[in-house]
Amino acid sequence: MSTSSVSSSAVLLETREVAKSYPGARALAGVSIELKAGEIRGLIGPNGAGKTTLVSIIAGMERPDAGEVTLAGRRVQQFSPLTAAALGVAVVPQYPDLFPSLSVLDNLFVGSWPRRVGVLDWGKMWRRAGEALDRLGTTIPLSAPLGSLTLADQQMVQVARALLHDARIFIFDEPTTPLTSSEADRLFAIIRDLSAAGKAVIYITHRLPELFGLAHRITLLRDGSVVATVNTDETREDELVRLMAGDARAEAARPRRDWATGDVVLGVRNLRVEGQREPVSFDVRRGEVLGLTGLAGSGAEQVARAMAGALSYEGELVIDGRPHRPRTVQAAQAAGIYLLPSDRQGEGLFLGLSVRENLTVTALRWLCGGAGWVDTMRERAVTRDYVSKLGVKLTSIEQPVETLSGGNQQKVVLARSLAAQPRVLVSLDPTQGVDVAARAEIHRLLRELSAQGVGIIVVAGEAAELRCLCDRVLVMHRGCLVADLPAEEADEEAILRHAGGVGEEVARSSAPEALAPSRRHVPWPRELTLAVFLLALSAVVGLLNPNFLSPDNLRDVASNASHVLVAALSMTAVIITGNIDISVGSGLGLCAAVGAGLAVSGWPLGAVLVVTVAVGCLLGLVNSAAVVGLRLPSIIVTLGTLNVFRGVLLHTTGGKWITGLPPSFRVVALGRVLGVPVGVLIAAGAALALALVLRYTAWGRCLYLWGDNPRSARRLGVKGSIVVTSVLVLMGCSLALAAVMFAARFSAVQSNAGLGFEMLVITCAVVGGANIFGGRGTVLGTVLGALLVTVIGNALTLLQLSAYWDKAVQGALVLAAVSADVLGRRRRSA
Amino acid sequence: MSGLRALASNREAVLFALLIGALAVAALASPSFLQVNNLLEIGRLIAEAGLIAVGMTAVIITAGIDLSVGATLALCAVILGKSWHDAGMSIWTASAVGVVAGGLAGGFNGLLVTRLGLPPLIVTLATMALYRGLALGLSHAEPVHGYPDSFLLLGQGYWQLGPVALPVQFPLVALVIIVSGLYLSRSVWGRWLYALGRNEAAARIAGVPVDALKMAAYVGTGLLTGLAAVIYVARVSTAKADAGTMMELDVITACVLGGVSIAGGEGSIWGTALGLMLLAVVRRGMDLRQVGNAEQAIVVGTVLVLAVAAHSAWSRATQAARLGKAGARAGSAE
Repeated sequence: MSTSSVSSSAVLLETREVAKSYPGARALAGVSIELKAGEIRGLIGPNGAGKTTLVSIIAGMERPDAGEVTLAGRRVQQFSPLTAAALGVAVVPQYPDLFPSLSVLDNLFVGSWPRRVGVLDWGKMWRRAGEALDRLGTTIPLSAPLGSLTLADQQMVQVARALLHDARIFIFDEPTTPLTSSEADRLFAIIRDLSAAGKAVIYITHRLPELFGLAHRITLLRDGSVVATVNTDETREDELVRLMAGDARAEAARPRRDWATGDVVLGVRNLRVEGQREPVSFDVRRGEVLGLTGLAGSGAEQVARAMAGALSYEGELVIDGRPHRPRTVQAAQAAGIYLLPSDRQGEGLFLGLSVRENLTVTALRWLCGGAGWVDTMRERAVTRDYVSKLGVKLTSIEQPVETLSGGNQQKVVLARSLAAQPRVLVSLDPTQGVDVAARAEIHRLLRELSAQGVGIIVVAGEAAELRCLCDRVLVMHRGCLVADLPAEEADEEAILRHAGGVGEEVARSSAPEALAPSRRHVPWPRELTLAVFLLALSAVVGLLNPNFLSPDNLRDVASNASHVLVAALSMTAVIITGNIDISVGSGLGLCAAVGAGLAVSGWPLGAVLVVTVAVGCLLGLVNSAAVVGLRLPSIIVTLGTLNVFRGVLLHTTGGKWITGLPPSFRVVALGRVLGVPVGVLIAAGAALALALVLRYTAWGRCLYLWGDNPRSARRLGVKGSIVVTSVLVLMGCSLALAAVMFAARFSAVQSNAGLGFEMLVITCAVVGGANIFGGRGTVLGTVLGALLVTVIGNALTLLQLSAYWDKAVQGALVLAAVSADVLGRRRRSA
Repeated sequence: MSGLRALASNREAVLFALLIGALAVAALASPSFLQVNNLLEIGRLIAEAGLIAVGMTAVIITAGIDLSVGATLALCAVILGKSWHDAGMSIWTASAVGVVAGGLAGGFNGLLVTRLGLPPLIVTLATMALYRGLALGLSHAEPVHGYPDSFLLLGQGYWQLGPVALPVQFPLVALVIIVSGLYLSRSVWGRWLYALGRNEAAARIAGVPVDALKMAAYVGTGLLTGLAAVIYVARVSTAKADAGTMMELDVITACVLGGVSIAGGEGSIWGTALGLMLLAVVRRGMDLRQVGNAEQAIVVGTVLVLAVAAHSAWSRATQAARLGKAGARAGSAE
């Protein structure tokens, strides 16, 4: 780990005077760093120092306002994730952002698949992936869905992916946050190997001890500037802590408290949330501002949320000497505990509603007379009262809340809790994203509240803020309460030291968590369940009525399934992208009428097919134009076109049946090749074709990428508009084919042809495992789904049960399938 | 700033203008259109859709949707018919059973949405098939008719007020609309419903009983659909499993026309009522011009898509106007 061996290597990354500002904040003020091959560089700094912005610029996710970035000797002109990746930059984020529904193998190669004669070369992928994982010394199963792996293994997949893409600059963004210590050790070993292989590594962390023994040099950022770059072996942890804390100490000294703290207003007893190592216990006293802090993953925020009933936990709370176990937010509020969330857009504000509506939402309970009618006079009075108490700057209490500044928005959220007369206020990062003046004011308000006897708990990541605001600071580290600092000891240095686990042994090889086997849920394949169910059902029906298993009946079942399957296959593709098309029933009727009409007027089969498919394609284009062009949800669009298409059908046919289809046309359904109905052959061909396309073409893989994780897919250059348009047009075309097969089976086409067909098709796909949230679905599953649905229909008839129940069975099947999906997902994430 | 707020409430004014315009066009096309009794007759025709639209408005405000209402109506109608005809209940007990069945159907939707966290679209798409299938299976697609006259009055009778013949169901629908409109805008639960639709996570943190509200919206829709089924059976004198086919389209279109946002958190019963009237005038106008069902389906389907598109474009525009560029970026993120 000598610095000299690195210093002679080539420079892989250089940033020169890179600057970046966001509205209202300067994130980077001219940062220059240089990174050589084989170097491991630690990047540290307090929250808001600009670490993430710097890394985003290097990885091409942000464009700098000024300055330049040189990667591997080439100045970066175009800032995009694709360009950065092409120049050898790979980011391993804290939490994986790849495609959880897809296999490990898929994830390793998405976006740049090796190909042979134009099709994806899975053999090569399998070999190269195996080699890459061997190099990392892991035994992750390549066929497992990424989402079923532990977070550590998912990170390993990201590293392997970067290796496979010949990355030369690796950026690790707080990678150990979700890892156990043995997993972290394994990661450190891999990072050292990368360095030995001549890769450059940027390692961002808040946990200073990790850097010793790992990083060659450490760069410290603060307020968007490089404060220092030091050689690791020439520095000590406490020196770094001091540098990080900086001269913030000179800033506003904490005003002396001039009231006495009183009784315990809230006692926390052995509280433990899932994933937390040790239960925590502490007291909040009347008139005290209690700080609770820790790095991301330390559990501080979870403890706070649990106290307010927003997260499930074990243990209990003692309020005014009586034990309570509020399990819901409402129960916690009834006990007087209110949560003030930090993410205003996500959990705080109701954008689009007025300041008044935002402010009184919690207090409404008390602002109503009998029968739950809101007393609007009182509501306005209360709103005005708190607006003036907190000094919210606004023109009217009826103005939409998003028109206020960040600081005033935060005051509205604070006022919401205050209007409910809290006994304890749990405040998460109360000054996140507000300016200096608003911040001082919010601090003042919190202290005033505490003086009035409200117990205040502030969860904050910034040590300086805690020092200014709190009377006592509790520090958590990796799920344990590690320090209880009284005001006079709670300075930045002490807080940072405890939060970062300084002084703690880094390598705890015998840590208890290392003993736990890593859980890997390999999901039971849906196809297998279906096949077993299908066989069992066939056996039962066959026993009850032997006719079921006669060749004629089986051929019937296959024929009945064939046109449904042709449409269901494309529906599967649509659902894989996270869309749905419920207009297919009307589309089927319309295409069938067109095909039958042409056939009756003597057109040859080939011409009929071409025209019908063109019509189907047009229907698909209409749907996609509305979905993509007008940016509307596909279900609403197709609910509309479902009626439009049906109307067009009725209008053109005048509600009359089209009869007298010529035998030359009906050969599509009635003809046989070697005893197999033509329709069955077409369906089998379509299934095979779609299976091959989904597996062996980039387009097929893109459907899965878009459905599974549109954000990451976009980053890899997948165009959503093209994916969605193509898949809806495919739906239209295969619908037309299905319509011809459908029309050919009967001698006439009725004007209500295809009514309810959409449900049949969606049932086949969803029962076959196509996931309505997108990203999952297989051809085999849909084939089995179509067979199952048809067999059930056939069985109802053969067993002389009413075929009227058919529809109910379809509905129940869909519900069972989607419930199984959701429950399976829940079990996996638990 | 408050000008924007005024503009938002102007949506109803715009709608009102559209309604007047549609009435004028209809009157020009067919002089008999503006006769009082013709207008009141429209009230009879929209009664069922109107009752359901009230519930649907609440459901859509929670950012949900209920595609199963047409099927629920059929199921309730069949259960009513079967309870009276086969189980020998009095017609009024049978009606109550029908309404309760609607509540249960809605409750089942609500349970799947709140307990399992399934998307309302797929849940109600499935129950749409399920309930229709149950209606078909229970009735074997056979209609039940021959109801007592006292019952049929509920759908076909009039209150004679001087020269004006008021359809019996008219006051009932008006009452439901007024009470629920007031409740939605003035009650605690109504206000919470909007908050929930705007931001479910924030609503949970603020202590809003999110799951109970959603449940109430679906159960309420089910009960109102059951009530609509009773009126429907009394109006057409028969209970049949194909009742209410494509009812969901008219109901959702009325809501969206009335300014209820598919994204949730926006809209009002008043808007829905106006949307409903607009849709009814258009349909009745087309009826009088002998425009067939086929063409009406094309018109209504297109109106639905265009209304949603106009609404989302309008929201994006006001959002952008409020927040400048930042808002436009956030709006286009998804």
